[in-house]
Amino acid sequence: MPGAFSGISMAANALQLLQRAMDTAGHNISNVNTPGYSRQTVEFKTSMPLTIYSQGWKALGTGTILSSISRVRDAYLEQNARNNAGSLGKYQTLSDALQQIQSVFQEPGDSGIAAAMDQFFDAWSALGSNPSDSGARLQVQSAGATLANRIRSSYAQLSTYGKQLDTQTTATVDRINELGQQIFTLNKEIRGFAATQGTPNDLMDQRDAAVRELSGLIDTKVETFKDGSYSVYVAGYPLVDGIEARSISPKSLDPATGTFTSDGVTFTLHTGSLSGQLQAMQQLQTQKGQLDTLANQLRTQFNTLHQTGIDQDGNTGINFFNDSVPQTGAIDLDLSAEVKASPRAIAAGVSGAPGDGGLALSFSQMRDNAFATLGNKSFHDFYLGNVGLVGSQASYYDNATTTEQGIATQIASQVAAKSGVSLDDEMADLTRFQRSYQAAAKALTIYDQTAQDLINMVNR
Amino acid sequence: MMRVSTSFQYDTYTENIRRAQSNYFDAQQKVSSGKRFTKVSEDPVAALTSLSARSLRSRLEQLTKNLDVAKEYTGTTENVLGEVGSLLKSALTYAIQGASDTSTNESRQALAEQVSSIQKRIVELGNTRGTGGKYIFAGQSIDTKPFSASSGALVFSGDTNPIQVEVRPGETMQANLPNADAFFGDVYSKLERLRTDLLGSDATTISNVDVQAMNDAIDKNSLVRGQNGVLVQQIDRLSTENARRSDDLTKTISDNEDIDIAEAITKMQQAEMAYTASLQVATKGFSLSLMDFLK
Repeated sequence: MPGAFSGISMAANALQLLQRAMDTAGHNISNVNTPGYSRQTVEFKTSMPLTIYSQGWKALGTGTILSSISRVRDAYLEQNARNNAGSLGKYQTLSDALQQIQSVFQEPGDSGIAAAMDQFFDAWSALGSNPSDSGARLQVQSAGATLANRIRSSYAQLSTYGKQLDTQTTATVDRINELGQQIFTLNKEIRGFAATQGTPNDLMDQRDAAVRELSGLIDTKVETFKDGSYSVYVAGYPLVDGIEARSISPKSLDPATGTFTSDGVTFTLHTGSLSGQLQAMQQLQTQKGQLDTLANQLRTQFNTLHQTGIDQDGNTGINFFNDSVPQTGAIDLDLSAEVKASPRAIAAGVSGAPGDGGLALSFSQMRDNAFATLGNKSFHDFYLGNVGLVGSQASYYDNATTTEQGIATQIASQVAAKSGVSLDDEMADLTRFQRSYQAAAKALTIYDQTAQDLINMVNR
Repeated sequence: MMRVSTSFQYDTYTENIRRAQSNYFDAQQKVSSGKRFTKVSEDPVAALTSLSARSLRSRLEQLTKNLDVAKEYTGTTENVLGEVGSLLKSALTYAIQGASDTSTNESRQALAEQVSSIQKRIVELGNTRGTGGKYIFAGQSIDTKPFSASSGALVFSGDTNPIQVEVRPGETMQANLPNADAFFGDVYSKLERLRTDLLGSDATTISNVDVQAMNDAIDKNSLVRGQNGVLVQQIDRLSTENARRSDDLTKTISDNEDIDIAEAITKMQQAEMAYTASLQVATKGFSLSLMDFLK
């Protein structure tokens, strides 16, 4: 038989637990804007019933106990979110980088290399057709200088952007190492907490957020252990395990192959911003190489022919562009010192006759020539081919980014539907628990009165 | 039914507003710039087509300027040959007069003077200069005075190299008169022969040789003038052709790069509506909460 006052302790217990439920709703409300937070729910279950005998054995309810306070979370969605973060990180990075590279070339427009090249060849055509015209001669000089200047400055801008990319990459690697350290520390706390104090929901949320951020930076694979700790592999490299958090050295990154090495082992990156940054560096290198090729080919073709000509002062063997052995590429492309000093040093013909524009016409017609060095393309087509490639890749990665963003939104909406805090829900819960609390309090009063009545009866 | 969490609801509102705003801005940009794209990546195919078309157009514009150079040479040549023709006709008249039995020694002396002044004029014509003081008939030695008379013969100091002008992509045209030295030399020596015969009052030779020589010179002049005329026509045709192709390219470039303004404005209005709508929805959504109804 239960005691006469057991109702009082049952109601007191309910009051206490309902307060915890209201606390949890309050915790949810407080974290409505915390990124990576999963809403928590309180689950009640009935406490062990008492068995009483009243015309047979009966189970008598004894109230409620708290069965769990747990995160509402879907591991499958979490995995999807991580995969998506990796692709999004990579495409976003590449899309930004290619836009940057593209903006260096300023095409289509009047201030790009293509327009400068047109003007350069047109100037030769003008000089060839009217070799004694000093205006045409000046035009060749200034168009040549403009072309060299644009190639040079495009190269310099690419180099500047390359340095930025270097810094970004180092920052990314630093962040990866930091996150590894963070996950390792959280692992330890979670293990300790779980052993003594139950499920550490908030710490687990923090760790999942760290893993999610890590997936955006590099291919991340997670293994979960029974004690609740994570082992984290990035691109196959064991970044975090039960023993330690390791780190990647930014110096071991190789943009050409998209890999990094540790203790002689090579790991290949597939997704994440780091992989995007390495690919971008590679793209940048390619574009710089193409500008070098263009600059050197301009030197070779123009100088070889220009040397055969005679300038207005009867000199021969003059270079049009500056040149040296070995050739120096786009970084310092300029007119030769002679041509820079005076347009009279420009050779329009080979005979020295003031009306001989034959050489200038050859230069003008060189624009139609295809060169093996330029992949059997003309100067113009070679350059446009590169610009087109950068443009279509930028376009491809823009689209890929948009797609991944769409997927990210989709996943976020699913995650939010599952784990996100709804203030309306929490308000409803609070109200519900408040009402229950009021009822339990009322019940306590009634039990109290009953007990009072009993005591009074005995007193009488 | 999907559960809607508060922060997701707010994120979605802001995201929708942001997207609508960005679309609206893009649409405005398109209307104000009049361009379909400003970067290659926005439409790589159209951008490359445009770049090639721009390149060709710029080249054609240069070729049209080159044609002006060719026009100067051929036009000047045409004028000079015209005058040479009428001078030769006068010389023919003098020759016929000189061949006549009615002419006296004195009158033949006078005719010889006339022929002499024609010769001087021929030398002047051979030394015609164009813009920038260049000699039109000196070949490539355009700074050198090509013709001078020396003891009854015409001395040529220029060269016979062609003045080549690029008139079509990869194609040149000789703009100056080919073999100008031979042409002027021949005319001059025929006139010299006539002058000598007139001075010598050799009516028979004048009649038998010089009249025929003058006729030959006139024929030769007409022939050369005709050949030059062909060039003049060709230049005109090329100018027209270049202008037409240039216009075609301008149209290609415009079709490629420019927006349809009516369509763009319609799109802008649509984007504006979408933007307004997203703002209204958010305002409504932000103001609704269970808290407003709980007492």
